[in-house]
Amino acid sequence: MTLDLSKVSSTYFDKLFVSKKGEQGSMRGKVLLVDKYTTPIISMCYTQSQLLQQDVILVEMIDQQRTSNVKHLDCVVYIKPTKESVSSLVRELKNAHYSKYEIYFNNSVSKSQLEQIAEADEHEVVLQVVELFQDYLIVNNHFYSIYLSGTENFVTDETSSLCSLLLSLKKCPIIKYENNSINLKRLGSEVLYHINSNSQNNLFDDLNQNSASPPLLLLLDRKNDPITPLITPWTYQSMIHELIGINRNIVKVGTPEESLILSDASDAFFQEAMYLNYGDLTDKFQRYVEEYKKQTKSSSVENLKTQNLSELKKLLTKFPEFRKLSNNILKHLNLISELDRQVTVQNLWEVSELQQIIACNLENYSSIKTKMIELLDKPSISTENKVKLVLLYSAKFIGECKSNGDLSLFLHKLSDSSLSDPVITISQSKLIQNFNKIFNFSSSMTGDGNVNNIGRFFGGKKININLFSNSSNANNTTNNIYMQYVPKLNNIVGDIMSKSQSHSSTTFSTLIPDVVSQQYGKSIENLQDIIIYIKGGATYEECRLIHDLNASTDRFEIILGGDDVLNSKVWLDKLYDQVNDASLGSGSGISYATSSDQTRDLL
Amino acid sequence: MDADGSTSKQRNRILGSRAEPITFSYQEPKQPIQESNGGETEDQRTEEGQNLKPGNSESGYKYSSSMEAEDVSPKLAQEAFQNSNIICPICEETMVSLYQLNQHIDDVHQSSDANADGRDTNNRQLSTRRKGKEHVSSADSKGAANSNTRPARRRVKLDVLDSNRGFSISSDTDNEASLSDDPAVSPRVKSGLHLSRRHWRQPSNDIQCYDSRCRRFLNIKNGLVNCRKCGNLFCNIHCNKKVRLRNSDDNEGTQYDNSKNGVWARCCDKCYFEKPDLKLGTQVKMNDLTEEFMRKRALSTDKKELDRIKIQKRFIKLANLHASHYLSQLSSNRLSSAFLSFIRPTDDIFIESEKEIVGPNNWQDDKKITHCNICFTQFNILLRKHHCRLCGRIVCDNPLTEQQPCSMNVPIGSLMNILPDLNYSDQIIANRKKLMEADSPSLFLRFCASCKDVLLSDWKVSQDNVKHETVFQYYDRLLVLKHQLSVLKPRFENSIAEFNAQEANKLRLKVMNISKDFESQVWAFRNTFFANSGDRWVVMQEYADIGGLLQNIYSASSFFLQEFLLDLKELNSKLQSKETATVRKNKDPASDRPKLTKKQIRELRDSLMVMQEQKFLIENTIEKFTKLRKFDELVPLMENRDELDVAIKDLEQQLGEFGF
Repeated sequence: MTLDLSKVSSTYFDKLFVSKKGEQGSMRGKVLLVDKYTTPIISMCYTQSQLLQQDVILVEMIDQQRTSNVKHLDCVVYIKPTKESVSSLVRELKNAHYSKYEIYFNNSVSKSQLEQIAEADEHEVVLQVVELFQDYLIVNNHFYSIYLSGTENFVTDETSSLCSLLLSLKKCPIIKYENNSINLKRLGSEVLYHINSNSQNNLFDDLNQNSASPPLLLLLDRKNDPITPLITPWTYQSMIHELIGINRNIVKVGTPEESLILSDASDAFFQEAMYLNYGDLTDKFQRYVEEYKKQTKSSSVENLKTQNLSELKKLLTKFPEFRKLSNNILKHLNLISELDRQVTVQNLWEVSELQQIIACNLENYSSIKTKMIELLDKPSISTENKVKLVLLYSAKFIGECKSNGDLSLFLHKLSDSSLSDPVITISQSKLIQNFNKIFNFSSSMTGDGNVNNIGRFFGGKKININLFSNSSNANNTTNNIYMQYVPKLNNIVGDIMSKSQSHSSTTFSTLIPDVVSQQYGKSIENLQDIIIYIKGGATYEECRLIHDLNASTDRFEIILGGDDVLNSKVWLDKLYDQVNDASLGSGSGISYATSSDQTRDLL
Repeated sequence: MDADGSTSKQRNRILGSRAEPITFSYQEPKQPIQESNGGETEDQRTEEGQNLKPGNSESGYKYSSSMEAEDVSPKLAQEAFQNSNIICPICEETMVSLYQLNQHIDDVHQSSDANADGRDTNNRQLSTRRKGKEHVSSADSKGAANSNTRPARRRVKLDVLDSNRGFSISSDTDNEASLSDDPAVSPRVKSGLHLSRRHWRQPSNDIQCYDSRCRRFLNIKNGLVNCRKCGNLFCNIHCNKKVRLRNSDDNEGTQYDNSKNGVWARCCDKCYFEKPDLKLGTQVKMNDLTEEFMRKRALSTDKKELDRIKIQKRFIKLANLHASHYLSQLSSNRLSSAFLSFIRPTDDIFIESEKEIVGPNNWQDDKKITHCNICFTQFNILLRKHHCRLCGRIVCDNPLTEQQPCSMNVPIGSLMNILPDLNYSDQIIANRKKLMEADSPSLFLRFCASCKDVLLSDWKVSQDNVKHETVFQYYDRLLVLKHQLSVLKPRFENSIAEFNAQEANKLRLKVMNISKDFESQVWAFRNTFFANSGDRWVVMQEYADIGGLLQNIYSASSFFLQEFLLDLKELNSKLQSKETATVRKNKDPASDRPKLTKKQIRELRDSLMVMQEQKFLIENTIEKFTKLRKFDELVPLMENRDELDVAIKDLEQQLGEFGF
């Protein structure tokens, strides 16, 4: 494993909190000062008990005012080197409340900032200053998400986050981006500049010395695949996100609302089940419960009475484990029953089947149309699901929609209050009407007009690659109608892995940093490490896809990430905003980035 | 030697005439060299590669010659035919059949020249080429009758060509093609660098794939491929990875090279997974800036240190000045001091000397300053100007500023209280108490906020919140115990693993005691700071402001305790099971008994002594009774003695070497 994100988090944890052996400092309690950027990073990677184990007994925000001096405690500062955080740190150091300070940054810090802090450290309380590079969130061990807060300097933030990812993994990559996206072009050249410029204290030099080929940073744009987030997924993690919603590994479920933590690192069952499809999942869960029952039966209270003292003692020591186990079971039981409820309430079996049929071209146009009308006539199906279906349909049958006026028929049905409740909103209908235009527009803008872009998402399926036809995802697809659709990402990555130039030569531009070309020359061959970034957000379904790809080959290592983790709701909201912006503004040249900016604020 | 020489000559000839378009014929196998000859030098091999490399890019390289065929003696040809090892003369790939060789040359060498590149930055390369040239010319001069100068001349020309080419972009296609093509043909290493083959295993009959999962017999169908890294032979499937290699420094084998000079070459799974990046796994970067930070801090702290000393000195002077004045006043007219202090022209007296202390240059002119130096508010009738007596700057005393006022009137006495160790005059030291209690307006000095901070910075750092003292007393104790436990635990585990029962028992006791201590400390901590309300423990009212802290300390400690006790129990049961196991084992071979603790030995010795004493007594009575002929009493006594004998024997056995 050369791209293991969980290794990153554990290494950084050791660096941050585990005191080195033989140091006297291990005998003191610790305070952790964080800022608003590092709080989610810490909370997603580490648990409270992990921190407590390392004597971190207090976690505070750095910008808080502190009144009392606690010289008995050492202080660990972990902040993003932003202007505000650094000035908070300066204030804290000038008026030191704790005895010793260890300062960690989650990205590279500028010389002037370092100077500023050095000057503030009048009392010489700082023991060490270290740059770590984790300006991103680790979702799974091959899935990251970049957390963007401010809207100003959008590309700069994105670039520095991506660079921190590259640095944390010690990778200095070549950059490939889809050349029909202006935003990617900007991002790509920004990253290239960042790597090439020496402002970073030559951090990017010598990173690849151990690898025979440079890693690849693959920049993709969500707008080149707007379909994937619309399709209802049927694997555990994706379903939780789609039907309940995961926010930074926290799921809120039930009434009263209860927060559950989903983490593949600390939850063995989830780790095994996160990529299973719904059917396999319920089987697995049943087995899990049965195993638990078997174990607990011997230790149930009635049994205890009959057994002698020593065995009783043995069992009692096991009780905490049982409690952990039963809590875990309860958690997943909650989740699965909620999923089940949603599936029935939303009629998802039916909806999803039609989605798959449309997306994968499983039936012909006329039969799909009749099925569409049938579903649209059912009031039991939510408007949102209907909208998703219509969007899929319109993307699939562009010509037919135009010539037969299907869209207006559908729109009519959607605004009929006897058929759909609630009737569609203005932005929804606008989106339906403009869905094709938005994505047509963006590709024709870069002179790529002759390519029938939407059709290609589906067309790609036919040229699908031999490489993974035997991999596990194919097993699912063969007989499961609900898992037919494979995201476009599969084709893209497959092209790169098999080096077939069918798509990539036309759609990708390559940027090679100086350091890389110095080491490897101009020719780049035998790629091994691939870091994918989807601007506009990635889905858990794609994360599963990457997981499968990683499992199917030992020649490649792939990790995936985006600036958001999408489900259909989030994606639709973004799209609504985009059409609304388009109609508000000049109607042309809407920048994809700005609209996604705003949605990000809403989210 | 003779045969060798002629073979190499032959090859040279072939090379020389490669431009002639003659089709490949079955006579080819004459050229292959017997690896087993062993007379061949590395130079020759590399030279070959060199010679072939620059080929005619337009026509590709046709490898054959009818002219050569005429020259070849039938004897040689026969030899070659008999030779079981058929080797491609270009890349020295081992071939199984003529057909295969034929195909190999068509597949691999025809196209490769087009892609051949002259990456001859490598000095070794150049030198070997030169050597090669020498060798050829010497071979020529040795003079086989039909040899001509063409090869040498050509080579010179090629050298020129080479250097003209410089760097070129290599493409992967030829390697890629050969990977997927004829299964029996392994890819030829790019000719720019010729990888050493000294470490290659030679194929023999019935050779198996070196991969432990495969082990199938190698033949044309399965493939017969040397891993370029380790040299072992594999089937096609288990040797289809690629790594970048170069010759190792001693030229005996190959090693990984991740620069552009490395040559992509085929390798086995094992070598692939041992390449540096995969072996190291995920590398995580951190950048320690401490050194740079310390350097920068040293720069600024030096300056600040000077500042602080300066201000401290000024403060001492000021304190001396005012205190002596105050004291002299106090002693001269105790009674009228209050009266005098009204009429005394304080400012006039002091301002001059205060100016002197600060330095006239630093003493800002009232007229020039219109704004406060700290808060930048403009002065007006209500906002008065004040000189800071420590730095001479003009500041305001606006109490409405947000954080702290820009200047304040500070009583010297309380400052002296805070800073008792400064180098005050003897007069002050003698009258310290009086000065501290004094409340005269003449003992107040105006300092600006920044000077005050500098003056008091050391004191501030040393200040601690007294309220938390008890909390941290408990916490420190907990931490010490925790530290001890975490140090002892691995030792305990070790001793168990190493069968050191004595040590283990000792450690067990120690660990148990400390963990009991820890437990009681945790309860004590809870009872001091938490109140029991219902079934939950709530932080007491008076500690509410540090409630989170207390809660965390408590949960951290109890969490640790819980985990630790669980582990400890497991360890104990492990120890017990081990002990019983060893005891059982020891019953059969009495030689290897468990070690006894000192205490045990003492106890055993004691009981042995008692037994022996008893035995002695009984034997005495037996003797007595036999003398007295009380035979009916003798029987139980004898029985007693026998029992004692058994017990003594048992004890002695237990004691073993520790017996008497």
